[in-house]
Amino acid sequence: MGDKLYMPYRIYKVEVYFQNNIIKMGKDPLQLLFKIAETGDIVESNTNVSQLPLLNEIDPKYFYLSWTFLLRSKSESRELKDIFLQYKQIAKISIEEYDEDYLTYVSDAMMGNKIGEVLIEKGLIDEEEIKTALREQKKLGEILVDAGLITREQIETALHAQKKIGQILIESGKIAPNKLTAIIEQQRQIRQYKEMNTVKVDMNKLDKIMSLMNKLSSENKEIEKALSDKNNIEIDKIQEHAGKSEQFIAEIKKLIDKCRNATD
Amino acid sequence: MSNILEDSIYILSENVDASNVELVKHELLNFIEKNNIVTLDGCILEDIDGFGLQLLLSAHKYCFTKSKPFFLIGASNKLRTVLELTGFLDLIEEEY
Repeated sequence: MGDKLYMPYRIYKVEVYFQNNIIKMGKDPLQLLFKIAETGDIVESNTNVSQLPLLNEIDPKYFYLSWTFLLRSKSESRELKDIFLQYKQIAKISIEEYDEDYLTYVSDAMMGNKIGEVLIEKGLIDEEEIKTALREQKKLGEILVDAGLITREQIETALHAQKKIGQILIESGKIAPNKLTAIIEQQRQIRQYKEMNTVKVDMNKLDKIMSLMNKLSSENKEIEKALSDKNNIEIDKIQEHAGKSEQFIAEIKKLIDKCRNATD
Repeated sequence: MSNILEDSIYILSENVDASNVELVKHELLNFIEKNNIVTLDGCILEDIDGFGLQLLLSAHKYCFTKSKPFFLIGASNKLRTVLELTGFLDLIEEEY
């Protein structure tokens, strides 16, 4: 075992499909999952609930769940296959090793870097694009398509049937309820972010601000004019127009503050 | 110990596994029918197997289609470990 200390980590995709009559064999599916966890670190765990019936329809003596794990392990693929061999009666297990690039990507993610930061470092996206993406309020359907959970055609079908997209997806087993809840929450947060950064302005106040801006601009022109003849600088005029400018700026600030407070 | 129905919280028994999933399914269905908000308490649940987990996920899915909020509170260490391994840790309501 000591030799493994210096061995590189490998990343595997492990897929597990249980026999649905596993209960007759007196086995607990979780035993195999815990065994997989013993062979390394589970980086990601996805439960496939697409075949899982609703509570009112389920025969709880049959097993409907399957899993896909992203496993980080120092064991070789052959070793893992040997370990899982003893479970071949109860489950079909497939193991696929990822290449080095993927390993770097996952390692970066595991080091605590946010995916956005990793993508920036790799030059795949710049900071502005990430900010834009975060601020963009997408429709639920677009988020689901982008996440690779459904296709555009499936959305069209759902809309055609006049049902809520979420309801269709749950019923057809395309998505787990908790995943959909997370996406809806994400959508809500984006909306909240947008609302927090949006100031709704009363049109009258906006007109007043625009009028004051024009007056401010005129005063600046007067100051420029007074400064144009370097041999005859009119200090009194400059002071007069500067004073008016300050007054207009103060009024503009006051109006902007009123607009902000009105949205709080 | 059999499952206890107490006010609007369903307390999961010490074990939810292949030996009692049919009984738990029946009780859960009754509970969900009677409540608009479904709250399950897992504080005394010490033994859960794949069939118990499957039943909870099925109940969660069922509540979602019925537009009934589903909360899992007071998860025991065993339940927390199983949900963490299977990627369902976010089912647990941490503050209540």
